[in-house]
Amino acid sequence: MILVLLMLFLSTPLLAAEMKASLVEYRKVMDLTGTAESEMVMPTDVAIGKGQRVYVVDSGNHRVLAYAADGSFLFAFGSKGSGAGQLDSPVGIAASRDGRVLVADRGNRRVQIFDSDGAFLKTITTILGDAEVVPVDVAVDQAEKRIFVSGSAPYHRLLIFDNSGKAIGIWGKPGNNFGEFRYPAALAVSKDDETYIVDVFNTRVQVLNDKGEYLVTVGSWGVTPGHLFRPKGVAIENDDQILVSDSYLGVIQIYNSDTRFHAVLGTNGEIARFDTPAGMTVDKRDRLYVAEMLANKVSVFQPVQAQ
Amino acid sequence: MSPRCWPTKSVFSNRCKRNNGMVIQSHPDSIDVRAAPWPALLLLALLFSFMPIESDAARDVAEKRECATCHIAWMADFKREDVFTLIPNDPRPMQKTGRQDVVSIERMCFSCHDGFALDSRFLWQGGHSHPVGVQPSDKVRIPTEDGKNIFPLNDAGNVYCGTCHSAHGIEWGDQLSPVFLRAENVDSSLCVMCHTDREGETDGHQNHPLQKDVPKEAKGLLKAGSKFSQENKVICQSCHRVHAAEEKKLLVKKNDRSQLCATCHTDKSADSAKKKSKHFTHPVGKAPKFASVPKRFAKAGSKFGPNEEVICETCHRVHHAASDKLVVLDRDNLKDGICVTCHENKRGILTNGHNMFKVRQKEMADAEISAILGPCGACHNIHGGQGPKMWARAFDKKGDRTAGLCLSCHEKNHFAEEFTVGEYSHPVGAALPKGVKKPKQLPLFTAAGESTTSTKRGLVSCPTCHDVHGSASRKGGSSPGKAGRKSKGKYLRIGEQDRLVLCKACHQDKWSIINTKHDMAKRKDGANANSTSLGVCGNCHVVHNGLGPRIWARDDISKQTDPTTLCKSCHAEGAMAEDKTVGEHSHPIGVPIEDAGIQVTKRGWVTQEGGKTKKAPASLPLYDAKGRKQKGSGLVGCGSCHDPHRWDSASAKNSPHPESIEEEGDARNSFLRVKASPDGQLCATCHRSKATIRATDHDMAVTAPETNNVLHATPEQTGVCGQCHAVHNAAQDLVLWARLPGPGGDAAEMLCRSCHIQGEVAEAKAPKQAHHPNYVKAWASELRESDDQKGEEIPVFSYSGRHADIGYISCPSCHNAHRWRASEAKEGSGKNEEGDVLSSFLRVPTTEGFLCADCHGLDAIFRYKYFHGAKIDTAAPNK
Repeated sequence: MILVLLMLFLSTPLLAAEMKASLVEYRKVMDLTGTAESEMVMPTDVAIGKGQRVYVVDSGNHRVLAYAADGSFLFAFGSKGSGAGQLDSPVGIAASRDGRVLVADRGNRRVQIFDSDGAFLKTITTILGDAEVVPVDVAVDQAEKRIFVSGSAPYHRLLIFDNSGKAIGIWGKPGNNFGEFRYPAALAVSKDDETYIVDVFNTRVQVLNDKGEYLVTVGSWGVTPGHLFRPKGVAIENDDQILVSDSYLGVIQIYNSDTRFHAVLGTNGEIARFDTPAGMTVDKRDRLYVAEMLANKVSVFQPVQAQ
Repeated sequence: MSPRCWPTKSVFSNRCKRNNGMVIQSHPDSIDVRAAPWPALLLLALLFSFMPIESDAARDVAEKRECATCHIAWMADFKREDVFTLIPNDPRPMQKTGRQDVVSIERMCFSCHDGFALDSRFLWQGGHSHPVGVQPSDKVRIPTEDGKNIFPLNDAGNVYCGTCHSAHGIEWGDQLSPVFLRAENVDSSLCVMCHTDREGETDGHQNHPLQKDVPKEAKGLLKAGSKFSQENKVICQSCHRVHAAEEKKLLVKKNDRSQLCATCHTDKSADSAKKKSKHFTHPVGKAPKFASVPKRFAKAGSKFGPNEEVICETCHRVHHAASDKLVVLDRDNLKDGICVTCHENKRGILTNGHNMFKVRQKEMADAEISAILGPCGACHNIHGGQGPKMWARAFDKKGDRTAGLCLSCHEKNHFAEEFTVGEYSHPVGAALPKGVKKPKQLPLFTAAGESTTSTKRGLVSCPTCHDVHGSASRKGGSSPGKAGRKSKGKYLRIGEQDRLVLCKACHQDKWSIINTKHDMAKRKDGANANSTSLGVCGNCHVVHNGLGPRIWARDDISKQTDPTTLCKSCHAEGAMAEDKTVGEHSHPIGVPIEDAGIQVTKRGWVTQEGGKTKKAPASLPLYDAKGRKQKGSGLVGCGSCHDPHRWDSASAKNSPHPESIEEEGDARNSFLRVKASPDGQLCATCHRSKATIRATDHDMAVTAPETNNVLHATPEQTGVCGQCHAVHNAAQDLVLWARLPGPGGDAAEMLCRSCHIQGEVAEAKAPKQAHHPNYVKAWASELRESDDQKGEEIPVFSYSGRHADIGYISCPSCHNAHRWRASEAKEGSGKNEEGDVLSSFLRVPTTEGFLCADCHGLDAIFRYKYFHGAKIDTAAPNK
C-alpha cells in the first residue's frame, strides 16, 4: 500500500503537469464583420446556401447578411419589425439546396422563408393551439420536404412542418431523459437524415432518426475536454465528425461520428478560444463558420490537413 | 455513423461508451493519459476506488449540478490536479463573505440569455448599464441590516452584478420583478434604497416627483424599455433603464434636446412649429437669440442642446433642483425672477409701470408662478399660458390677438382703464402699407400673435410701437384726445422726441409731406387745438384717442356725415387754410363713383366704352360717409383727388419735398394724386369720354395758350380741362364753368359763347346767329327715336343749360365740345385746323336720321352753315 501511495505521489503531479487536450489544428481564414455601412451585432447562426453563399443572422440588427464564398459582402435583407420579411431578434438559420433561406424569427414567433436573393417567400407561424412556441433554430431534412424547428421554453420540443407550413409532427417533450429536452436550440441534419439537437440545459447534443426516435447523445456535462457546459451550436463536417460549440467555455469540440470525443479545435498548437461561439456550419470545403456573438463577427476556420 | 452508443435509462449514466473526455490522441502536442505509465494508472484506479470521485459525483447529483449551472467554480474538476479543464479556475470577482464568485459576471448571464435559451440580448446590445467595477459615489447610501450591507460589494469594494442580483434567499412574489434581485423592487423601490438623494426632497433640494400619473403619450416609452408602476405611475425606471439604456445616465431615450422630457410633458414642449401652435410654452430646441443664460446657471447644473439650444434642462434639474419647480437656481439667486435673469433685454420691466409687483401686486395671475418668474408672472405663464406669448391673463381672442393681450388691461373696466386707446386709434391687426418694407426696429405679429419678420404674414399691433418691457417714454408727451392730460410714458420703441421717425418707420410713403404746406411743423399756425407742437404728424393725427376717423387730432369729426369734414378742419372759413377753400361751386363730393360711369373691380376701375370694358388709367381712393377709406366702391372725397402728404405726384414719396410752403399751386401739384395739367389726366380718370378734347381746337394750349380762365390761370397752369372747368371756386355751378359766360338764348349757349364771341379767343368761330329759335322745343333723342331707329344722341337743354327731355336746341345739341371728329373717338392733331362737315365737333357724321332734317328737310345742313356763316341773312324765316 505504501508502495502504491509512493508511486501515486511520484506520478500524479507529473501527469497533471502534462495534462492537455488533444487538438485538431485549424487555420483562421477570415472574419465576417458586417457591411461597409454597419457592423455585425451579435451574430447567432450561419448557413451555407445555393451557390455556396454564406448567410449570417445579424441578430442585433434584426437582419440577415449574405456573403459570397470568398467573404465578400453581397447584400442584406430583413429589418426590425413584424411585417412580412421583417425580423425581430432572429436566432437560427438554415438554407436548402433549392435556394430557400429559412430564419427562426424568435421575437415574432415564426419562421420566415426567403429566396436565395433575400426576397420574402413565406411565413410559418409557430403558434400551435394555445402554445406560443419560441423558435430558436430551423433545419431542413435531406429530402427538403420537412422543416424542423426547435421550440424553446416553455415548449421544449421539436416541431416538424411540411413545406406548406402545416405542422405535421412534434418530437420530444420537456425533461432530461433521452428524447427529452431542456431548451432545445441549434439543429443540424446529417447526410443520413439524422437530426442533431443541442439540448442546452441538459448540456448535450441529442441525435434523433428521421422518425424522431432517440438514437444517441453527444457530449455531457463538465468542463474537461469532451464535456459541455453551455453547448450552443452544432455542425457536421463532411467526414461526419461532429463539432459542438460551447459559448461559456469558448471552445469548439470535435466528436467522431460514433459520438466519441475526438479533440478540441485548436490553432497554432493551442486551444482556439472563441468569444461566445454559438451557431456554426461547415461548407463543402470543410470551412467552419462560427458565429461569435459578443465578438460581433463570424470566424472562418479551415482544418489544416484539409488544405 | 456507426457504431452507436445506444441509450440507457439516464443520460447521466451514458458513460458506458464514452471516454469521459479524458483524451484521444490525435495531436502531437497533447498528452494521452493512456500513454501514461501503466503503473501509475493502476495506482490511480486503486486510489479512486477508495475515494469519492467528485467530478463524476457532480455530474450525477442533479441538485448539485443545477447549482453549478451558474456556480461553475464549484465544479470539482477545477480542484483536481489530475485533469485538464478547458478553462482555468478563475472565480473572481469574490465577495467578502466568499459566497459570491464568477457566477455573477455578465458572461455567465449571457450564456443563458443569448437567445438560444432565454433571450435578453438587448441588454448587451450596446447602450449603457448600471456601472460595475467602480466604488459607489459619495451620494450613494448602501443600506445595512445587522451591520452588513444589504447590497454587498466585492473584495475590491466595487459594485458588481452581485451587488444587486442574487438567486438565493430572496422571496419574490409573482409580480415583483423576479430577476434575482437582492430586494424587492416594487415601483423602483430598490433603486432608492441606495440612491436616497434621488427621491423627494433631500438637503433642501428637489427631485422629479415619483408616483405621478403617466400621460397616455408616454406609453411609447415602453418600447424603449421604460417601466411604470402597477398603478401606471412614474417610477425611477420610467426614465432610467438599469441595463442597455440608450443614453448616458441610463436614460431610456435620448434627452439631449429634451426628447425624453417631452414624451410626458407634451404640454411643455414646443420644439416644432406644430407643437408651438398647440402648446403655448417657453420654446425649447432653439438657441436663444434675445436672451443669454448667465454662467451661474451652468454652475448650478444648467444644460444646453448640442447646438447650444435651450432645452428643458437649461432651466430645470431633474434631480437636486433648487426649488419645488425643479428650477436650477434657488429663489435667493432669482430675486428678480428667472425670466429676466436670461432675458436681459426685458429687465426694464423691473423699474417701469408694468412691474405688477410694484403697481398691482394683487393682480398677479398666479402667486406661486410669479414667485419664480418674478414680475413677468403677472402676464406670462411660462408653461400653459395662452397664445405664443404664454399669456397668463384672460383676453379677448377675437380680432388682433396680440392687441388683445394689451387690452386685457388697457380697456374700460380693467385695471389699466386710465390708459385706454379710445374708439379712434391706430389700426392693429393690419398689414403694413403696400410696398413698405418692414422697419428694422419694429416687430410685426402674425394673426395668431407670434412675432414675425415676414411682411407677408406680419401685422401691426400694439407691441410694434410699444415695448412694454423697456423703459417708459424718454420724453413725456400729451394725448391730444385728452386735453391737458400728460402721458405718463408710452414705452415707445423709438423715443418720443424721435416720434417722426417712429411714424416714418412704417409710413414712409407719407414722408413727402415734409416742407409742403401741410407740414404743420413748418407753419407758425400749425399747432392743433390741444398742443403747442406735435411735429409734422401729430398736429393732424393722434395715435390713440383720436377725434374721429383717420385718428384725427384737430377737430371732433366723429359725427361727420361726408368725407370732406376732415379737410374742412383747416380748409374752411376762419380756419387755418381759409384762403384755400373750395368755394360755392366745386366738384361734387360724397357721390358714388358709379355716377361717373366707373365700376370698381378687384383689378381696379373699369368703364364701358363702345360696348367694351376698359380699364381706367388709374384707381383713386374712395370713402364712406364718415371719411373712412374704402377697399371697394365708395364715395368721392377730397382724398380721391388729393394726397395731403404729397405736394407733387411726380416727387419722391419717401423723402422730404423741396421747400414749397410759399409756392402757389396749380393743376400740376396742389397735392393732386395725378397731374391735371397739361393733359387733364386726373380728370380723365373719371371722365373718360371727355379725354378726346386733348390737342383739338378746344385745347387752349393749342389754340390760345395765352388765355386765362376766370381764376386767371393759363392753360399751362390749369391743364386742358381747367380752362373751361374749375374744380373748385368755379364761376357757376353749371359744368363748374371757369370762364365768363357769353350771351345766348339758353345757359348752354352762353357757355359756348364765353369764347365764341367777338373779342374772345374763338371770335373767328363766332356764329352771327348762334341759337336756334327758342320757340322750338324738341324731344331728346331717347324720346324721339324708337328703339330700332336709334342714332347719334342729339341732346336738348333747359333754359338753365341742363339736359332735358323736351328742351331747346342749343349749341351742344349739335356739337360735342370734347370730340373733334364724330367718326373717331380720339384726340386732336395738336394743330389749329379748319373744320368741315365731318369734324367741327359735330355729333353726327351724316345727315341721316339728323334731327334738323325732321323740320328742315335734307337741306338742313346747308341752312345750318348759312346761319353760322359770315353772310348771315338776318331776315331768315326762322328768326
